[in-house]
Formats: sequence, structure tokens, C-alpha cells
Amino acid sequence: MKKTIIFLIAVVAITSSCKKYLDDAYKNPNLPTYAKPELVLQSCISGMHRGIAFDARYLGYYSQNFSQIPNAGTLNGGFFNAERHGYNAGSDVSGDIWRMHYWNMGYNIIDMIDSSRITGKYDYIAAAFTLNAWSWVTLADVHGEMPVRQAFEKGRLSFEYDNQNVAYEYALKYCDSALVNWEKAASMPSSTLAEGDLYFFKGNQNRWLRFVNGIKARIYHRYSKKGSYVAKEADSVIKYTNLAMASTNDDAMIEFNIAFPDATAQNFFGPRRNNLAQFRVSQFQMNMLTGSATTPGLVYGNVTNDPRVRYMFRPSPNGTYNGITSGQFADNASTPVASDRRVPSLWGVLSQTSGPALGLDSGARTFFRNDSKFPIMTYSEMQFMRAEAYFLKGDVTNARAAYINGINGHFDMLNTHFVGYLNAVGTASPIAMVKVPIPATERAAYLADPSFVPPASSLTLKHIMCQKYLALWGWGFVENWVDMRRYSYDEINIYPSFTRLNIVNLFVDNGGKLAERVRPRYNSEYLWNIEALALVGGFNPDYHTKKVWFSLP
Amino acid sequence: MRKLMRILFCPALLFISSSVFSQNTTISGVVIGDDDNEPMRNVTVTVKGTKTATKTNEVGYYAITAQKGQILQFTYVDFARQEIVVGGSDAKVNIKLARVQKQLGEVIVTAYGIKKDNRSVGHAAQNVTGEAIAETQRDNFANALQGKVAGLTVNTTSGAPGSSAQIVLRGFNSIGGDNSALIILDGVPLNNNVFSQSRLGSDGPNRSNDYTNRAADINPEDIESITILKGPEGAALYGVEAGNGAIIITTKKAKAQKLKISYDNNFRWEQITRFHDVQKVYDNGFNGSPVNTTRSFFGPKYADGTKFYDNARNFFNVGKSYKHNLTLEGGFNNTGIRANFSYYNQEGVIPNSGNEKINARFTVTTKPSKKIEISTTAAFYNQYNRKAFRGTGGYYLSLLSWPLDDDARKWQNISGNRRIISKTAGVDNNAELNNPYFEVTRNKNFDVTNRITFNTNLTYKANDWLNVDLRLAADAYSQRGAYIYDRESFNFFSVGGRIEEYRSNFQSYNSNLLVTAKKTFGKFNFKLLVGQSFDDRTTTTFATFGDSVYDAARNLIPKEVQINGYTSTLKRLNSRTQGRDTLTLQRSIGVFSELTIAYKDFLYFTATGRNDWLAEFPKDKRSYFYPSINTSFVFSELIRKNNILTLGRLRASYAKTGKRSFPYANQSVYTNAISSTNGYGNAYGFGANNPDLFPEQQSTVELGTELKFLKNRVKLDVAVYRTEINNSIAANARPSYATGFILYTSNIADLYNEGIEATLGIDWIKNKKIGWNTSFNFNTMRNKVTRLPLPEFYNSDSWLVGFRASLYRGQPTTTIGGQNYLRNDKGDILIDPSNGYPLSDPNYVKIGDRNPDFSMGITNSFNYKGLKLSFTLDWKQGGDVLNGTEQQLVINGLSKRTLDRETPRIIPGVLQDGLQNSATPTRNTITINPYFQNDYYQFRTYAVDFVEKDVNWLRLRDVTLSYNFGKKVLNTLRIFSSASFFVTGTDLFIITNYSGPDPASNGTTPASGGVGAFAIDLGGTATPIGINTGLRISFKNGKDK
Repeated sequence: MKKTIIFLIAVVAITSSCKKYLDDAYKNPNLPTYAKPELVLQSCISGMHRGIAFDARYLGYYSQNFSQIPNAGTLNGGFFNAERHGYNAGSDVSGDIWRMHYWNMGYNIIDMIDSSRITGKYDYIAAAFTLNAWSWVTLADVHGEMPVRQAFEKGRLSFEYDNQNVAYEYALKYCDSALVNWEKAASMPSSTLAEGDLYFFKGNQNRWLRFVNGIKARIYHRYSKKGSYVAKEADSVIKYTNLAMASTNDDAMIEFNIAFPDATAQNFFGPRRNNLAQFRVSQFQMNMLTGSATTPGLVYGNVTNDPRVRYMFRPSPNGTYNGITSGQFADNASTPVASDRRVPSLWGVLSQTSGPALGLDSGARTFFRNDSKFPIMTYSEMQFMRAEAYFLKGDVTNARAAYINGINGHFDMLNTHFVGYLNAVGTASPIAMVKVPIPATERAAYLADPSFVPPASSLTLKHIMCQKYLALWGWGFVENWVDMRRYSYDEINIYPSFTRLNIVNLFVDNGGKLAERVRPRYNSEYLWNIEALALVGGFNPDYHTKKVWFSLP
Repeated sequence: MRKLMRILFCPALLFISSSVFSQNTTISGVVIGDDDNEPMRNVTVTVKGTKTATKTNEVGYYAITAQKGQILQFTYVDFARQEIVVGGSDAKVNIKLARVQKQLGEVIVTAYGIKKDNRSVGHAAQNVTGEAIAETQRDNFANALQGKVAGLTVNTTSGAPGSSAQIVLRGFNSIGGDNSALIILDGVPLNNNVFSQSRLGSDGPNRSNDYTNRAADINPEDIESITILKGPEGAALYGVEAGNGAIIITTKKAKAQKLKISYDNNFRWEQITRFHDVQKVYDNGFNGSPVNTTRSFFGPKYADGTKFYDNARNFFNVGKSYKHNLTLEGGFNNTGIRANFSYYNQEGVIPNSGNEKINARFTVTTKPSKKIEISTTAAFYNQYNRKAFRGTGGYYLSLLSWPLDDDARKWQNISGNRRIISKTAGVDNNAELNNPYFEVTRNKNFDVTNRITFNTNLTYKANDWLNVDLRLAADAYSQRGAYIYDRESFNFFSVGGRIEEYRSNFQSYNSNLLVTAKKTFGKFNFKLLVGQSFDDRTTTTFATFGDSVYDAARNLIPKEVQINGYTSTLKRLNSRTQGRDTLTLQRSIGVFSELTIAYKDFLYFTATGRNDWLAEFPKDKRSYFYPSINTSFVFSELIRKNNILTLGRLRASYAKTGKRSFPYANQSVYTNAISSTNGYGNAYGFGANNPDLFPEQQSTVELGTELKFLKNRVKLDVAVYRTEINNSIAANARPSYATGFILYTSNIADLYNEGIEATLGIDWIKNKKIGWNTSFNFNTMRNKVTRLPLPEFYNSDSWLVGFRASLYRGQPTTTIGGQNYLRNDKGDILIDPSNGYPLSDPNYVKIGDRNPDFSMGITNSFNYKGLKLSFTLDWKQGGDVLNGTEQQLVINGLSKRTLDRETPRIIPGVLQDGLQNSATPTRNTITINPYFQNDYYQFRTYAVDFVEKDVNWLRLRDVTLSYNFGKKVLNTLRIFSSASFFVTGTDLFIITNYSGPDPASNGTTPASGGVGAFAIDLGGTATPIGINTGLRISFKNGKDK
């Protein structure tokens, strides 16, 4: 008996020491297999900026935020194809939102939720759901059909495509999960939220909550072409825009740590990152601010410049504000514009090929400085969305009120979040400027001008959509493009002076149509998810001109 | 000592006394071996038909009592049995036993070094003697095996000194993991890693550099014999390590008790004789215009009378190497000692390349009592390897593209810096490939390895049926290496050169305990083995790299970097330094058992089972069980003994084994996410590790037969097998991002390998004076990927230019994927309407299959008295080879394929103008004249055009002529007990339909895993031809005779 016991003890001892022996060798000693949600949330927040900013270089051409100065007369490359509303075959360019959603957020979000559940950090669970919802909406806005229901399924290697609205439904569900958890977090804050969102909402749960409601508003807003909209979803838009940002102080803005030694931590649009040397403001956008006697179908007949133009852009050497007409590839080596009418780059330099020396941003404005904040969603966007919903419901009075809020919101955003550099009126030198906000008097005069703010009875969709476009210029690339596609790029009634490219300037595969969606990321889908992509027509040469769900009645 | 001897002789005396009869005579004498005329210990002397037996003692002496007319048999492993008839009176009879070539059908070493009667083994196994390996004079023993074993393929990475070689048995079983055979040295695993560049700070692919496979540390002279267990069924006892079959190496132990000193040497000269052909018609330039500042040769014709330099031949040296090998063996009491020391030094054919090896091995075997036997080996290895970079940035492609009207040997300009051809307006174009002399002189690339292995083997024979074996082994090596790109080197010119240094330490501890019990019940023999093993491997690597190779005062580092001074160079890095510290632990515990049941002497049945617990998997999925069964039926025992069929047997086996995954692959890891915003943060890396990973599974069915005819003069062995591999792990496969990751590791593929292996041995002539025998090793294989839920899986290291080692569902595992022409639905090539050039398919598609139709090794051996001639021919039939070097030559206008550049042409095809798939596609009518449009060659040459279909070769792997000095000479010289002289030629000729110099090339190293880039030739040099000569002598010990 004694021997048996000793034997058993020995067996147990050996087995348990073997187990420990193997356990010791299991865990990866080289890299962390667990990351605190405080650290993961940071990378997800920065992923929002990276995804939008990378793809903005292509989406910004579709929506005519930007035009291109061709480099030394060569009309090749990704930006060129984007300006022609085409795509870049065999390339991952303009697939960064895809990458952001599935990879950058992807399992980081899923695992952040799991790990925060264990530790009871409801604010991190809520933040993860919030970003997840935002990410689904953004991806669906850009690409239309995509894998939703089968995405992230463990062990699965081919993914069926779902219709765009499935993604919106998922996003709505995640918004609700987020709201539930923000509610819990309100009573049980983890006290470390500000570590994870230091460069976003700085631990302010209320602002997160408003952001969630803003996402919900965006989702309902995508139903505008559907028959049910006026009776149903428009009310939801009105409701959630009300619960969303209450003022520009609530704006969702990503910030940058300018002190970080690696420049990749800085604003992608800043001169230090040097990604926009050939980018210019489009004539379409400039017309919104200045009008032009030579361009038919002006938005505003007023020859007086919008007070925001001096703040957002730099004048040509002759002191006038100019843009580059989309699809014309003007100011290239063979057809240069007169030197005094040259359009400075977004960093304020006239060079066609390079940014300012040493990446200095002293000539840059708004979103284009090295440390500029990058808006993800703003109060003014919400107000314009609300204005459109009221307008479509026929409630022009409330529509007008929201419209004015939207304009004010944009003025406020510029004055609050962006260092105020104002070009002196009429100056011939693009360098002379003063660091002040837009004068209140100029704003008041602007708002008093009935051509900008008409009485309710004269308010049109054109007013609302153009002011929204203007307020989202330079950051709301996705939202602007959603709007333009919802209104079929209507250059007559909605976006006068939008440059509809003719068949010669359009991309060869388009068949005369404008871009309606971005093709899925090449290295994800065109090579590795071929069968599913083929089912939705992804291999058709004009797939990118196929209208998405929200553009169809 | 006498006491011990008495103890030893006790059993013999007992036998003798128990069989005392009238007319007994005592026969005594000394047994010597005919190979070295040394006394032989432990030769069994039996009185035929009785149980009376004895063994020779340490001086070869025996004494046995027998009756007149009885027959005495003298037997010893590897020696021919001899019989003598006992005469009427006591007599002194000295016996000389003749060593015979190791034959199939004798004792064979199987898994865990267990010796078995070959006829009982139900799976394929093949023996190669140490002598046959040493005879080929290869410094890497793996290379000596090519052509000698059916079903064994050696994929050599290159012919450079110290290059790696991969031994693959029966094809590739894993799509992402290691496919090298398991190497077992004296019963314990021997690490055969090839350093992976993924452990470097720069995390490079395994293609621009090469590192020796560590099993090459073994001195071929130490090998007694090698058994090759070809399939997993032979190695099934190793469980999760058994998937690739096993190479079981038994090292030499002391044979004689008397001191024996032997010495041999080897001097070798080698030379590269085969190069890629380049055209000598067009000078450098573009589009027919001369530009003498480019390495592209699309210019006008060379002027008549241009002086050409044979740069390629000038560049390579005659490689020289020598080796000295000294062995001491002897013993006392029941202890045998063998010590071997060898020194090898090679100057490679590539200037400044070389390999230096020191190898020392000390083995003690002792039998302190009747029941205990201990064998202990300690070995030390040192290797110093000086290498040249290979592949696209390497010296060879630069050598080929150096202008022929310029002498490449002038690699320095007046100021001693790199001479650059593409000099424009006083500005050096540093993007130009390095001059090959500069490349191999200024850029340094080396590694040094020190290794110690120790193993001890304790056998305890508890009684006549129970046996306990304990083996303990330790293997430790440290490898340090560095490469230095000179600051003028094009690779890192903009950052002032680069230094990367690494130190890698490996240590493994291995123990296994085997308990064997034997019992006979009537006609059944049972043998049960129960065993347990621990395996523990630790690898640590610390690597750093940095640019700006300046010292603190911003002076350039000295032009001639002292290799020995490299440690101090780290201080000189003042920017962009990065490091990586990697620790890898691999642990496993296994228990295993084998039961063999023999019925009489003709029916055998063996079953094995093993359970492994593997630390790389999480607790709940750590345990895996692998069974196997095999049977052997010696049907010739059932028929009347005859001289035609001496032996005939059938074998059948089934085994399930596995393959490990990669350490830590079950845990996803976070990386620093330095993207926008604050700069800090953690996120998953590109790759998803997968918590659900489990070992790959293999099951093999094998049927075989072994037939011996005409008194064993003709021996035929045939095996047919099929291995199914399930859930092979694709490491870092590319799927849709909807997986949540960009790279994905999972058990996704099923594949199979099947084939036929046959060996035929014929003794044409076999008598005392003359011998001639031939052996044929035939192998044919087929393989296919049967499940792969992805459009393609490829090995990223093998993605060299426009091609890679790819796997597609329903296609062979040895497929090459690459760029092909884009075609319409009808198969017409699509043409770019803007320029008339053909378009390429954006997806990589199957463009070739590297698997040969069959391969055959033919070894012939003749001997006449002391003269022996043997050679091995290696014949490969079929299998595609991708000539990537040729593609580079076309791109640069150097290929002879571009000589028709002045012929205008219209590429047959249809324009991609939207009508390509309509009923009326637009035929291409655009004429291109490549002479004026050289981008036709530069951008429109697709990999598919460089796949050479069905490449055959016949190589003379090695040929050896040796002469054993006879007694007369030896007696005259007095100091030698044996002496021989040999001349060996390696790779003396190759007959091939391949257009490049050598179809045996590899674009990656074995470290890249999976199928790798064998038969992908890019910037590789041909295997040099070599001549070796040397002496083997053993010294006479004074007390002889």
C-alpha cells in the first residue's frame, strides 16, 4: 500500500512537472501575445486616419476635392486614373480603407472587446464597438458589396459578398452594443479611457456617445433614396443628429503627437509626410467659395469671396483664388498656366513636384499642417444631414435652421480647431498672412446674404448639399462622395459647376459613366477571393461604375 | 585485465565443458580481417549444428573444442562467413575473414538505432556504407548520397564552399514546413538546421545568402554506415518527427583492441567549366543607340575587331582544398577508444570564398560487465565559411552583364574606389550592379560555427530476455556571422554601406529510454519495446544591423575590413541601427512502443505506436498519437531451397505520422503600431497565427518485395508507396483580408505523394581476384495538391522575379507559378493596342512542373586485386527547370535569344480593345522592331518563356580509382599495415538538354521551408568539376605477428 502511494505520488509529480515543462515552452517569449486595450485602442484610432487619408488621395478626385498637377507632363499613375474616375488595375491603391477595416480594426477590435470584458472595462468595450460600427459604415460607403456575414469567421478562407445594406445593419447593431456599454461605462468607468483615446476624445465618454449617435444618423441617412425614407428613416436621422454633436466642441477629431520622433506618427496630409505635392484644390471647390463669372451654373451669384476662402486656401501670386479644373490636367509642362495664376499646393508652394523644404508647414492651412487635427465627424456635418432630412420631409423651416447651424458649425470648426491663418485681403503675396480667426463681422455679413442663406421658402437642396460639401472639404471625403453618388453627380440641380468629365477624359473602361464604388483591395480580393468577387461582377471592366445600394431607389 | 578476460571466456568454457566427448580436438588460432590484416575481436566461432560457440578475444584469438569432421563457422557482421572442417588433432588455424559489401538482407539499423534482421522489416530501408560515402570525397556527406539511394533527392543550394544541401526522401510532404529528412546520429537526432535569415535584424528572405546545413558538420570519415528509412512508415517510432523519413547514421567505433593509427588525406582541385552564354554582337546602349554607360546591351553592333575579354572565365579561380584525417583506435580490457581528428581547408572557385573545418571526435566503448555496455562520443566541430552573395544582386549576374569589351578585372579606379561603367558627366551612377571583383573583395560575408556534440549510450542486459537502453545526448553550437556591404556598394550606397551581424546559439538535450523484452512461445517470437523520449531545443539569436559604415570621426572604415576585427565595427554604426533578439524553445515528450511477432522465420508482424506531447500547442491540444503496422512474409521459406531464388519476401506497411508546426505559431502576437496619431500603440502584425493549428498528418501505405536470385548475385527490391498528407500547414498564406489578417497560417492543404522505388544489384563477377558489381537505383514519383481552399499558395522566399514556387489545387506540389501571357477566351494572346506588345496575366498561373519523370542512379564497381574502380552515374529524366538567369540576360540584351532583334515582327494575337472576346476580335497588326524598341525585351518577357520543359541530365557524379598496396609492397615498406592511393573525380561531365550551365540550382535555401525553389536557376553558378587525390594508410603496430 505504502509503495503504491509512493508510486502514485511519483507519477503525479512527474506528470505535473512534465506539464509545467511543456507549458514553459509554449508561451512566445519574443513578442507580446496580449496587449492592453489602452494600447490597442490607440492603434485603431490611428487606423481611422490612415485608412481615410490614404484613400482620400483617390476618393478626393472622384468627389473633385482635388485636381492634379501632372508631374513633368506624364499623365500616368494612380492619381491620374482616379481623376478620370477610373481605377488602378493590379494594384492595392485606394484599397486602404479595406485594409483598415479588415486588418487594422479587424481582430484588434474583436480581441479588445474580449479582453475588456474579462477586466470589466466597459468604456473600452463601448469604444471598440463604436469604432467597429464606424468602420463598417465607412467601408460599405466606399465599396458597396463586401464580405460581411462570413468575415472574420475562424478557419474560413473564401468569403461571400453581402449587399451594402447588410453592412449598415451590422453597423447599426454594433452602435446599439456600443450604446449599451457606454451606458454601463457611465456608472463604471475604467479610469484609463484617456490613455487609449488621448488623441481622440481624451476620455470624454459623452463625446463618444455623441459620436455613436452620429454614426447612427449616417446609417439612416443612407436610406434617402428608398421609398420608406420620408416616412421612416428621415425621422431617425433627425433624432440621432439631435443626439449627436451639439456643437463644434463635440467634433470627432484625431490629433497627432508631433513630438514623436518617427514622422509616420504625424499627419499624413502634412508636408513632412510629403504625400500631396501634386495635389491642388479643384476649380469646383474654388467656385463654391469665390464664384466665377466665366463658369456657368454658379452656386452663388455673389462676386464677393466667401470669407472662408482666405482662411482655407492660399491665393495665386496675383492675389486671386484659383483652382484646377478636374480632368483637364492643366498647368502641366505642355500647357502651363500663366505664372501669376499658378495655384499653390495645399502647403502653399508653387513647385509642381516637391513639398516645402524640410517639410516645414508654415505655408500650409487647415488639414494640411504636420500637426493638424483630422476630423472624422463634425457638428456641422450632422446639421447639414439634418437639414437634408427636414427638407426631404418638406419641413423647410427646420431645414433652414439646421442649414444655418451647419454653416456656423463649419466657421466654428475652422476657428476652433485649426490655427487661424488669414490671408490679408487683396494681397499679391501668398506669404503675407495674419494669425486671426475669421472675423465675426465677415461671418455675419455672409449669413445675412440671402444668396447664401435664403428664406425658408427659397431654400433648395442645392444650398444644403453645396454648403455641406464645402464644410466637409478636405476631410469628409467618404461622406461627400456618398452624397454626390446619392444625387448621381447632379451638376445641374445639386452641384452646379461640378465638372462632368466627357468621354475623352474619362477612364477607358468606364463607358462614359462616373465612378460609383471603389473596387475591393486587389491583394485581398482579386487574387485571393476570386470566386466570391466574380459573383458580384468584380471582374467586369466597369465594375467600379456599378451603382451601389444607397444610390438606387 | 586477466580477470576480466576470464569472465569473458567463462561462457565459452562452460559450453566447451558441457560438450566434452571422445575424439575432441581443440582448434585455436587468430582471426584477422582481410581489409587491414588486423586481428578481429568478437568474431563468433560456432560448431555448426550445435550450440557450441565462442568469440575471439581482443587480440583475435579463439579456442574451441570440436569433434573430427564437424564444421567450424566464423561469422562477423560485414564479413563473409567462413567454414573449416575439424581435423583429427588439435590444431592452430588462423583465419582471414573477407569483408563484404554490406548486403541487403543482413542486419539493418532502424529507428532508435535498433538493429533488426532485414527480413523482418516490413518497410523500405536502404543501406549505404560509410566507405561508399567517404569515397566520393564530398565534404558535405549529403551530397555523396545523390544517386545512391532510390527515392532520395539531394537539393543542393549551389556549388559554393559550405553551401547547404537538403535531403528529401520521397518528395515534399509539407507545403510550408521543413521537408528535410530527420537525421539520427548514433540513435539520437542531430540538428540539421540551416540558419534562417528571418532571424536577422533585417528579416530577409532566404535567397541572397546561404548557410551550411548543420548535418554537414559531420566528418564523412566518421561514418560507419547509413540506413535510409525512406518513408514515414520506417521512421514511425519518431512520431511527429517521422514525416520526412530518416537518415540513420552509425559512426565508427574502435574495432581492434590493439593500437591502430591511420591517416588519410585528400587534395582537391576544382573548376567551373560551364557558364551562361552571352551574345557578342551588340554593344551596350538602348534602342539601337550607343550608350556606353549602361549594362543594357541594346546598342549598335560592336565594331569589327573589338577586343573581347573572357570575363566569366577570368573571374573564377581554380578551387583548391585539402584535408588531413588522422584516426587513432585501440583499447584495453573491454574498452575501445577511437579518436579522429580532421582538418579541411578549401579555397573556392569564387575568389575569396572558402571553407575551413576542424573536426574532432572521440568515442569510447566499454563493457565493464557482462550486462553493461557503455558507448560515449564527444565531438567538436569548427567551421569558418567565407561566402559570396548570390541571386539577383550577386556577383554572377553582374559578371555576366559586364561589357565584354571591357576588362572586368580592373575593378578599381585611380583613387582605389569601385570602378563604375555607367558614369555620366562625372557623376557615378551608383545604382549600377557592383563589379563582380569589387563584390567579392569589398563586400564581406562569413560565418563561424563552433559545435560540440556529446552522447552516451548505456545498454543494460538484465537477462537473456530483457534489455534496457538509455541514451543521453547534448548538442550545442554557436554560430556567429556578419555581412558587410562596403559603403561604395550599390546595395546600400545611399546609406553609406551596411553591416549586419548575428550570433545564434543552439542547444538541444535529448534523452531516450528503451526497454526491450524478447520471449519465444513455441513457433512465435515476441519482441516488445517500450520507450520514452524527451527532446528539448533552444535557439537564441541576437542580430543587429546598421548603416552608415563610418567611424566616430566620420572617416570611412578601412577599405580592407579585417575579418577578425569585425566585432569592433558595431561601434562604427551611427545611424539606423536595429536589432532583433529571438528565443525559440521547442520541447516534446514522447512515449512509444513497438511489438514484433515472428512466426517461425518467415512471417513477421510489427506494430508501433507513439504518443507525443508537443509544447508548441496549447494544453488541450498537445497530445497526438501515431500508429503504424508492417508485415514481412518471406515466401521463399515455403518453397524448396533452390539456387535460382535465394530469397523472396513481400512487405506491407501502413503508418500514420505527423509533422510539427512552427514554434509559437498558435499565438498571435502584437507589434508596435507606429502609424499616425501618437506613435504608440499595439496591434496585430500582418500575420495571423492560429490558435487552432495542429500537427500535419501523414499516412503512408507501402507494398514491397525483396528478391534475391542466383545465390544472392542478383538482388531486386521494389517498393510502391502512397503518402497522403492531410492538413498541411500553410505558413503566411495570402487569403482575403476578410480573415482579419493579411497573412494567414492554418492547416489548409491536402496532398499526396506516390511512387515506385526499385533497386537492383548485380554481381557480374565475384571471385577472389576480380569483382564487378552494378547497382541501379530507380525512382519515380507523382505528387498533387488535392485540397487547397485558396487560389494559390506560394513560398514568399521563392518569389524571385516573375515566378515562384506555387501550389494550386489539383496541380503537382512541385509546380512553378509565374507570369504568363494574358489571353482571351479563345486562347489568343492579348496585345496592348497602344504599342503592340503582349500583355501579362495579372495572376500567377502554373507555368511548369519541376517533378522529374524518373531518376536513376547507377553505380558500378570493379576490382581487380588491389585495384578498384567505381563510379556513380545520375540520370534524371524530365522535370521543368526555370532559367531565370536567361530571363535576366534577355532583359539586359545579353541573351542570344535577342540576336534576332533587327527582325521586325508582329506578335500574333488580338488587341485588347474591348472586342477581344467578341466574335470579331481585332487581329494585331502593329509591327514592332525590337532593335529600336528594346522595352519589348525589358518589360514584355514573361517567366513562362523561360521554363525549360522536360530537362534531362546524365551526370557522372563521382568516379574513383583506388589502389590497395599488396602485402609485398607493405612488407617492403615495413611501417604500414595497409596503404592505398586514390583518385576521385566529381561531376566530371553532365549531358543535358538544359540551355544554361547547370539545371541543378536552387533559388532559396532549405531554411525557407515548403517546396522551396529547387530547379529555379537565378544567378546560380554551375557545380564545379573536381579532381581529388590522396592516400590512406594505417601504420603497423610493432607487436604485429
